[in-house]
Amino acid sequence: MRNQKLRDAALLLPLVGTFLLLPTILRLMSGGRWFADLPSLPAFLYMAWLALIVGAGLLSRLLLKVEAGSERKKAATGDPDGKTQL
Amino acid sequence: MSAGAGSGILSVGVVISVSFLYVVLLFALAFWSDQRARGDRPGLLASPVVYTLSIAVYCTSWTFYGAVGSASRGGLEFLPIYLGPTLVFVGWWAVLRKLARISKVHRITSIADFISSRYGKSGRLAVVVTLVAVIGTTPYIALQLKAVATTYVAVTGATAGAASGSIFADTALWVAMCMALFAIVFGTRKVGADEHHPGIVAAIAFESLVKLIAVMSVGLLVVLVLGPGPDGVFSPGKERAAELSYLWTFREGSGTRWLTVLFLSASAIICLPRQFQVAIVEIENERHLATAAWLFPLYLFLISLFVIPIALAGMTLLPDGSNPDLFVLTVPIATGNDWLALFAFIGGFSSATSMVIVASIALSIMLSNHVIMPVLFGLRRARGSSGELATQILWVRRISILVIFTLALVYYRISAPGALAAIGLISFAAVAQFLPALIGGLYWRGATERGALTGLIAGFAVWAYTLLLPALIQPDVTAPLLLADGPGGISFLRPQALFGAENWDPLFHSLFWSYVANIGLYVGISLITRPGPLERLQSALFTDAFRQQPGDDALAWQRSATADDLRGLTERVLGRDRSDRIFADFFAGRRAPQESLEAAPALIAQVERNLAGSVGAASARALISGVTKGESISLDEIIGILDETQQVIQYSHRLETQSRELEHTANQLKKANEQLRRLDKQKDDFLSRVSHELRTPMTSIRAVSELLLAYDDVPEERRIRSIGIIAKESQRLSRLLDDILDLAGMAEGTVTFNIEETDVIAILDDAILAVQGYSEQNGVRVISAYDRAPMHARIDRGRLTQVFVNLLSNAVKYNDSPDPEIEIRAIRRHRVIEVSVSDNGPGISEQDRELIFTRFSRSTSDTRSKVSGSGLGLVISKEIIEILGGTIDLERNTSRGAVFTVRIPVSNGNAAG
Repeated sequence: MRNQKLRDAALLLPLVGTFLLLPTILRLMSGGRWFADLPSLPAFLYMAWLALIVGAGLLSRLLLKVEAGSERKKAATGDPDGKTQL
Repeated sequence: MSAGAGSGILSVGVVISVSFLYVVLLFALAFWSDQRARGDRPGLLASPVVYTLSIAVYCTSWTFYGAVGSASRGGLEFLPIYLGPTLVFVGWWAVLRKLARISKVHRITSIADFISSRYGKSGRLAVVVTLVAVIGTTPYIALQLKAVATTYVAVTGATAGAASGSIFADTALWVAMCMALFAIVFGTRKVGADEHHPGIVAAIAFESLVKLIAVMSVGLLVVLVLGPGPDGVFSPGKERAAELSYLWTFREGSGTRWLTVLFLSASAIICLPRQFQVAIVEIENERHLATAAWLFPLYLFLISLFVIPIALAGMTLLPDGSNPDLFVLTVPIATGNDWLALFAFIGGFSSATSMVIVASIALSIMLSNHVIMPVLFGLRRARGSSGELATQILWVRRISILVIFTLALVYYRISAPGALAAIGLISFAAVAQFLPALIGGLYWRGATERGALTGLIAGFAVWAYTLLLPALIQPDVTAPLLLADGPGGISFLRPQALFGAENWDPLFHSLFWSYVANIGLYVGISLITRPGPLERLQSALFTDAFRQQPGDDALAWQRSATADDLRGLTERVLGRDRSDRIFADFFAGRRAPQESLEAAPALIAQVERNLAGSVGAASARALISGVTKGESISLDEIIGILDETQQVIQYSHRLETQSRELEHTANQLKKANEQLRRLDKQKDDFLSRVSHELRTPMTSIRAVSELLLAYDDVPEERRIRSIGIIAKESQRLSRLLDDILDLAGMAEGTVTFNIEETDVIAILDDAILAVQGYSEQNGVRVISAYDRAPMHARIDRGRLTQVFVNLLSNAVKYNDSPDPEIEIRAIRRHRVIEVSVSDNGPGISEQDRELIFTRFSRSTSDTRSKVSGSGLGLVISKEIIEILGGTIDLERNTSRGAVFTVRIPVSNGNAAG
């Protein structure tokens, strides 16, 4: 069950990224100044970008672990083709 | 074009020798990597980091130099070029993983091969994809050559340019020749089992590293020189701030272009032939994608991090009118950092050369496998020759590379000076035409070859008309009226305002109409055409990639070939060594004798797969057909393959559901059974109780009447008493029978209730009055502890009286306290009238609680003779109250006797009061 959630999250991540990059959102972020007087739009874009990178890194690690787990299970149940894997 | 007179400080000799040394280094690195990979000691080469860096071939000189130029002109509009690929890699799990898996299993050699394989190994589809790719990306290669030439001029101050000097004085020619040599040496060393080029991958990974460090060095210089703080990189002086604010705000009306570029670059990272080559064809291990998923976006992040600062620096430090496309070079020169400028030049050189090398190899593979080789095979068959093919294939590859470089050079020499700059996105839009067929082919089983073919051709035609044509036309020279007035003056066919789409962003305009044509025809034609057997087989293998195994398809084929023919073919195409290895591998795990005359179907499939890895699926298929006989695909087997996995899933789902349902039904049956048994027992009990209850009065009636019959001389007084007993017992009998009938009637619903709005308190008063005589007779004190204010409910007056009388008389009847009393309370709680009757009698034991509302179940401890009645009173009361919509309960944990509570809902009309 948790694995399925993980796979769903992997599919969701690019959608979240697309959402953050919609012009509507960018217009909201445009024009102000953040932190050390940085323009808000580039600051937002690069932060969102970094968040996506970190998210992808974490998810990929977990997914690889899960995949390795299911490979082992497949081997253990004597189902080398993995055809019955649902 | 140049950054200004006198800005080129580095001598021509230095630049040329450093560039030359750099190229030599690349050759050495590629050679060394090839050797290592061949020696089965890949080490670092097989690491996901090298793989990721090789994907960074995406960042060409167009992005290396052009991003700063684009930022100078349009602010953050350069970013979607990097953000699109980020989204694709972050979502690698969805698409890239499937592409990689399929490519590995089917030994895909290029994007043309992929699309052609998916649609029944269609040769013509492969040709169309190849031609689109060549037309779409050759100008892009030309752009790289131009970038090298232009930047060479900028960094050295030399005057040689494409337009002025002879071709031999043109840097671009020499760069092109060097890169063609490199591509030929390392891209066509051998005909491989699959298109893996470790040497080239290592070299471009290295180049990716160089260009990243180069851009970041320039960026750091800018931050150091200008300083990050006030009046620095992001906060130029107040008077400049307003003027430069477009650099970091989102321009109104740029949303469409932003999304278009985002989409195009996302599609380009898959569909550009060179990206497909490095990311999908060259991938050694699917797990590398998991690293690239974050590392490649990180690379893009870093390479774009300093774009705006460099643009700012260029605009601040350099004279007005300087070419912003060259800021990466001219800013270091302007600040006196010549060596950094040289490094930046090498970085740009890297991004150009790596793109040129990979693109030319990818295109040459497509061109040779799908266009030249099929013709060659046709000619050979016609001539009946059967000589060595392996060498010929390599030569075809080499010639293809030269053809592509020649095309690029020609394009570069003849195109207008400004025409190349826009070609990057135009190229993206061309290869985006592959996307519907590619993605549709991965997930939509019903997509057909004819749908893909027509969609692709139509989309490409619209792209050429709306984007390529306007870019090529020089308004003052060629067909000046075409753009302004449309062909033949038909204004709704104007290339940049098709069907009256005025003032659209040109890129969006082209993408929109080309996709309308492409997707519309792809879907439409797919829906009305039927796929052939091979198409159906391939579509099943592709869409179900994660459940299929290599070799599944062998089952579907019915064909025969002699082992000799097959071996002969393999040797001719792949060479003797490879052929021996394939056959040895095949027979290693089997008992079948190698000398068998007939080749096993699995062997034929194995050979075909190996051939496909070298010459593409369509050509491999044609070659195999040449040596097999009676070739056909068994439709049954295909349907088997198509459906097997789905059936397994459906079947197990069905089983699961069924077993759940069965379990549920069994539980229900068990419950029903228990209830039946209980009811059966109750019925038996009921019958025996009824017989018993009837028997008691009957016995006394019979005894008394027999006594009266037997003796004539019974004294008058005694006779009267006896007749009184008979009358009383008869009454009891008929009461009992009335009760039974009453109960049966209520259970069957045949008893009618006369429901009306009535005051419950008045009924209670009546009931108390009715039992007054009985209670006084038994010396029981009745306490009415309730307010006389009326409480209305919709009830049957007579029936409710019956219930109260029953409760009260029970309370009187069973009260054996020395000072017996009954207390009656009535209150309204929210929307319920609560009437409770309590006594100070013995109460009802816990074990009897369940029984008292069942038929004939007088309390078991109740043996007192004075107790009379049918034992049905409480049961009837309960039925009545339930029919009236209320409840009757025996309260728990009371301090004294038994407390019965009747709860009846108040009528709506009385709700407020």
